[in-house]
Amino acid sequence: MNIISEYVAPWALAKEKVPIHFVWEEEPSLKKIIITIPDDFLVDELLNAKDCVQKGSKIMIPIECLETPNYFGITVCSKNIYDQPMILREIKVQFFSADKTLIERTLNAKIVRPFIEIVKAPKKVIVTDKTDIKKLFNLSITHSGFGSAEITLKALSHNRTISKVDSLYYEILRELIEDGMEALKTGYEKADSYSDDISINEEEIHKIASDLIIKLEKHEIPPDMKDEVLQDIEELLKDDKSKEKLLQTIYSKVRRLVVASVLHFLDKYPHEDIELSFGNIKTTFQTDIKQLIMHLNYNDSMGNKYQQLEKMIEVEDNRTNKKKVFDVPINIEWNTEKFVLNQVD
Amino acid sequence: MVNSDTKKGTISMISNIQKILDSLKPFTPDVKSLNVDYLARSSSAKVLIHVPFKKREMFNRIEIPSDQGYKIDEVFDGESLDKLRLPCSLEENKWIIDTKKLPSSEKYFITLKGEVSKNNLDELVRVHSPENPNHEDELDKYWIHSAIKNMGTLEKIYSALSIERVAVSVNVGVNRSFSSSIPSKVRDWLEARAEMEFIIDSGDRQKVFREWIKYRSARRNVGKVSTRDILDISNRLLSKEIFLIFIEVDDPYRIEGITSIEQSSRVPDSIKVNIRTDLNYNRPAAKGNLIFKKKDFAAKITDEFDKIIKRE
Repeated sequence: MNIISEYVAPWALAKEKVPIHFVWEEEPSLKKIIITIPDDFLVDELLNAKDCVQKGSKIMIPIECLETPNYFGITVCSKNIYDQPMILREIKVQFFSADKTLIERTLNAKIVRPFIEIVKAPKKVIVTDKTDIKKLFNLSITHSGFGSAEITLKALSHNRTISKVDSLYYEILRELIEDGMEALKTGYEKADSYSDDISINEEEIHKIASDLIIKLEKHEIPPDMKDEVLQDIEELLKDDKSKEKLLQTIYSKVRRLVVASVLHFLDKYPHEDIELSFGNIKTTFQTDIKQLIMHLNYNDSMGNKYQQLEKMIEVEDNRTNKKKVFDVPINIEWNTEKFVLNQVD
Repeated sequence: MVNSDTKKGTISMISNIQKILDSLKPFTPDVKSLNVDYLARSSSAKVLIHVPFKKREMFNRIEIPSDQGYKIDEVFDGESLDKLRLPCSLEENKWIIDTKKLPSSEKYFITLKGEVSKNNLDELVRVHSPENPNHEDELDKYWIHSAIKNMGTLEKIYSALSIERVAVSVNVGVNRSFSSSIPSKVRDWLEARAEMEFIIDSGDRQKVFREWIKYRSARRNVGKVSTRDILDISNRLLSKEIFLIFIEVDDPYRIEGITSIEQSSRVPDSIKVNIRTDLNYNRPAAKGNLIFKKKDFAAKITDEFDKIIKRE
């Protein structure tokens, strides 16, 4: 028996579809095909075959069930998420005549995932009057798996989130929302006080403004923004007149918005295969903080969520004026450990 | 295990053609080929009919129902293979050909053309590409797979089925190419500028002065770059003409184009590249890779910035 083409997709994330096919020269003695899939996989679809029976992890295809006698396809996927960056699973395909095995093939499905580790974090930070807070908090994070990781970082103290997004973009959004509400109430427009060389045309400004409204309508704001404000904005957006007023306010901030959105874009993708959901974060230091817990959550492009990473950091405040509250940026050094799929085709 | 209602699409296509064949029964029709154009969402069937002289006395009309979604596209003389210019009239939901107007040949090929709905198409073919590419040093690689879902139903009845221009789209990630190629001095300038705007609002003159000095210095480093330039570079490099220079696909796939982004005020995360291939009885499934030459693309971005920074 002569196989013309066999295929298994060379990699897939957990729960992502893995297409497989076999094409062969018509073989009169072929009576049935048995496909054995791993226990932790399921069949998504069978192509070019009908009324087949699956018993446990075996799928039986008698020749009569094939639509044409030279081809079948099957799409499988993993049921679970795995701990290791890559796991191999075998799919066995056997072609039988009436009395013997004609051909047997084993295909390897590779299920991969991003794998994030916090490799360096301070065990303790000491703040003094001379401390440069911009250099206080340094983490080193490594990605040693496959695929894009969408990461959300938080810092908590006494079970409360004390971090917030460090993004000009979101600062302007906040301002915008507040000003938008003001404009609606009092009907004034705040003009931008600083003029310089930037010139964006009318059409572009409208595009930016509409994009932003779409974002607000879709609730694409960081988690620390208050819900009540968003509800107010939703009310604003329902009415054409007030939506127009919001547009005007955006208009006046648009120059800053354009700059901010480019910076935000750069912050969001700091490294290959890393997407920081809301950009960089900073944490607010107050006197009563003795301990910080960093939470890092991530998912892959299929939305599979992986185990939360935690790091505890002790804080010692030796400043003379401990009452002063300040924001500390969290500096992250990103590293990638090269991941090699053994066999890439 | 395989649910038979996934055959709905193919069944309605068959029943439409079957009704046409029923009406051609007196002329012993034989479907020679059935082509589905996935991209154009159309199908065409070539039917061979026999019209011996004796039949022309009994049946003076060839009738084809016009309400099955198909129309007569062409008629060829089966012996000379000449294309015929035949008057074909429409009466009471039927295309009519007067047999007296036919030349002396006894065989004819009729090409029927019809539209195929998206649902029907989705039931014919399965296409897949991965969420994430494999990163190699200079390029990103995406696998592409397309396969006929249900060959036999159509294939058994008609001797040759081909599905042309089967469309797959691959989302090629470009965000990293941009964020890593925007020169750091451009970033420094953007940050100085953003700081500047905030500090001005604070009204603290000393701070404003200090920031202004920083801003002026950062500005000098980037020459005539404006924020607008950054968006212009993005829009230009992500246009069909330029972006596809950095994309390659394996046989039997061909690049069809990209789904163009609107002139945007944001740099997009990915670009949808549209690929096509043909499938048939001998090749019911296709495999291959799409390669994005990311290193070259990033170099191009850096190049564009250098040009602007240096311009007078």
